[in-house]
Amino acid sequence: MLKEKLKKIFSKIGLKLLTPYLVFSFFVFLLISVFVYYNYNSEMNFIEDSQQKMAESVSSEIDFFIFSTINDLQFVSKNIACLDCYENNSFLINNLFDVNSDIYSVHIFDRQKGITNDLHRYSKDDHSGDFGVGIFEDGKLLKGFDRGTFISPVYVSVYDLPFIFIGVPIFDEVNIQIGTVVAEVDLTFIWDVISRNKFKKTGYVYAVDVSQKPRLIAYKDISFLKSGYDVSGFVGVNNIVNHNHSFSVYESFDGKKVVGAWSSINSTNWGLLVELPVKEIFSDLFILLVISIISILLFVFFIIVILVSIYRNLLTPLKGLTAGVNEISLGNLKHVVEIKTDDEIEELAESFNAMTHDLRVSHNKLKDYSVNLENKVRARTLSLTEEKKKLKKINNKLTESEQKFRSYIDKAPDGIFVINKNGAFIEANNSSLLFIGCSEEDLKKIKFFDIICDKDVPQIKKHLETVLKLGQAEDDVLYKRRGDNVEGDSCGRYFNVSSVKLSGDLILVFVKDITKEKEVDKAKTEFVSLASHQLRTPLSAINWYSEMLLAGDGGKLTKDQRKFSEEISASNKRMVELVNSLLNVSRLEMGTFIIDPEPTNVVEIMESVIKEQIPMIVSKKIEVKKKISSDIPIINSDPKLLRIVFQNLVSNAVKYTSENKSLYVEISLDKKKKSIYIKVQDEGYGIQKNQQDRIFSKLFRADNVKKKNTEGTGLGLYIVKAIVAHAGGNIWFESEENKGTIFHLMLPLKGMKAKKGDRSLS
Amino acid sequence: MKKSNDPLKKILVVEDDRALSEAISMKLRNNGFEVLRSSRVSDAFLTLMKNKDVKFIWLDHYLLGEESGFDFVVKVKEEGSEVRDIPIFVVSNTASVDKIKSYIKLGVDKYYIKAEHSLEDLIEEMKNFV
Repeated sequence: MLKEKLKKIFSKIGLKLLTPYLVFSFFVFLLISVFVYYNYNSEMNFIEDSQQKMAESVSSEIDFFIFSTINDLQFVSKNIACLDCYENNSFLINNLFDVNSDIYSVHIFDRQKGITNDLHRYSKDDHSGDFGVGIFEDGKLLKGFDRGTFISPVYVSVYDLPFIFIGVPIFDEVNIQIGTVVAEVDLTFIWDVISRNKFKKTGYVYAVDVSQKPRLIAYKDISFLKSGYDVSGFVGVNNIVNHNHSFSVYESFDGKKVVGAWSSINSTNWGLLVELPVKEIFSDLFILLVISIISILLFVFFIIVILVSIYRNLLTPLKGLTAGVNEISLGNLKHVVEIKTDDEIEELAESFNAMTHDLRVSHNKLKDYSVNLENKVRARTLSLTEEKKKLKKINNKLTESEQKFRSYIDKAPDGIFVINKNGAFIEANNSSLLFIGCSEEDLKKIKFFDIICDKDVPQIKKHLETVLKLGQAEDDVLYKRRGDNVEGDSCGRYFNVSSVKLSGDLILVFVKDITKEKEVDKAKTEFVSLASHQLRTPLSAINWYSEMLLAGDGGKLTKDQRKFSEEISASNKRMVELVNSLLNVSRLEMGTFIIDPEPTNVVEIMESVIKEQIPMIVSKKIEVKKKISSDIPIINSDPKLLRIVFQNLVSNAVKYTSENKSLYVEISLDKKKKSIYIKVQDEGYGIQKNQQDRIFSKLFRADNVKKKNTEGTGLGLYIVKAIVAHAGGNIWFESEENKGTIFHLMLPLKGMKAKKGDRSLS
Repeated sequence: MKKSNDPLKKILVVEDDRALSEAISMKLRNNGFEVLRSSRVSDAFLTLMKNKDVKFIWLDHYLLGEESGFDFVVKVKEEGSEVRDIPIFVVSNTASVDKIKSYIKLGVDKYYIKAEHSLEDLIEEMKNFV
């Protein structure tokens, strides 16, 4: 319980606020203590000092009194002429009375005779009977007083007045004491002094006679004196007697504890004491103590006040606030924090309430939004579900369609696959896998280049570049099957690769295995080549034998024999020509012919070719018209190949023209097209429209010339076209049946590129 | 057949086609040469060794047996100085550039394609070397 209460009181804030106060108070407390102690100390010192001083000053005052009295007596003593000189002596004594008002009577004693002079200021009878008891008796000084200076103990007269006897010796001429002057001295002066001197409030001064029988001389309380109070054994007196330290604490006559200081009165055996009851000292200190205690009480009181204040003003509202906020944080947004302290905490509470209010409003808004949203979501979900169903239907249809097309693609005999620009396979149909010879997973691991034979890889790379740049490309390349057939015969098969660029970096590739076609073509060409070669041998024989016959090496021939031999020779020459043409075709097709460029004079070749045809031109009476520019440059071309081209065109023009027609040849420079333009125009049989598209085909001869002329291989224009293509030129024609034909030819000025091969065309 | 009292100049004809071989030989004989014929390299070489005074060799490329005219030229050029300098014409129907170049490199004097020339022209050419 207490702990709870304490915990309550000693709140964290409370402690924070109290701590400086406590610290401050502690220091103040410390200061007070120091102050008190210091005060006490200095008080004591002061008292000691003051008492000392007072003792000394008073004692010296008294001392002076006695001393001066003794002096006065000594004067008298010195001036006594004789002990008997009554008048003289009275004179002296009366003077003394005038000088020293404290002397009441003077008595001169002769040592042997006794009292000789006896003078009183007032009446003799003022004294009691025991006047001078203890000092003199029967007019004679008692022992102890008859030698030297003496001061008697203190007596109290009938009038309650203190007095003493002071005796001063009288010396003769030889300093022998012959008598004593004794004065009765009134000590009222001393009593005055003593009563005059007060120390502080309750402190007092008194004198004591510390000779044989210590007696009080003067005291604040006369009763003690009257009885001749014996003060021997008393501490204060002992101090004087034993010359102890002047200042000490002891118990005085009246039983009270005092601090006292003493001082000797030099001319006498007396001592002066200054005493101060300790009670007075402590009473001062007591006040200080009271003040301190009151301060402490005040301090504690204020602590309590502050604590209570803190508790009431700070803690309670704060706790109320905390509780309220907790309540809110638990979710009860309607809760209002009630703090009515009319201060900043109330303001804080108000702010919280405002905030809570805002929170509640936002919360409600959110709830509304949330509900609204849910509804919207629900509605949207519904519509989306509908959409989803629709989409699913569409998707199914699409999938069906896709699958259908996929199956078409898969069933395709050609390989169809998609690669990226780096050649990696993205997708492939079944035929591809068959061609390539690996599974679908393996396909992903290889690239397109991996199945192309090394020597064609650059070509295929260029192919891909072309596709990516221009959108499509087509090439024939060697490929090799993978899988079980990578070693050994890998590079014997041909693909025709036809590619189309797809969006992004993808390429759609169609491959057709054309190995068979290639083989067939090769076989054809080889066959032609071989056949040509084999044919030439017997042709050579026929040629030479006919030659020999016609030369007469076998004997003279008859006219008929000669004719027959000429026919044989002519036919043979045609055969040779055919075989040559076939050979050229085969070389052109196999790509095994040579292009050997050299500076070529195109005009010269044309002129030469025309010259060759002169026999036929003359016999057919054909008129030759030439229009040859003078600015035709020398081009870097293969003259043999150009010759074949010109030969074909010109010989065709001459061959397929009837008599009395013209032949027109033009050579000019087409600067814009950077080419040499050649025109060979005839007025011959022409080519019928529906056969014009086949004019450049192998072994093709149009019907009209087949009827008219059985000579002709059908290979000439095919060869011309091939050569022109290799020269980078262009050849085209216009023709009308029975009107004539114009052949146009463009040869690029840049000439032909050298080409290696096995054979040159003949 | 001798046309004069001077011994006829010998020409070695190495040709596998019988018809052609006979035509060539006849023409040569009509031009006053003695013709030694062979249709394969081994035989031709033996003949040459036996008739080191041959003045001219007419050589086809494709011959009977394993060896070609090429091998024959190699053999001839390896042999002693007597036969090495005998002029050689290679008269064949093949026109392979490589083959022609190889023959020229070996040291034959001329290469002709049969079908392109008349016998007459060939013999006229030959006469420049004999």
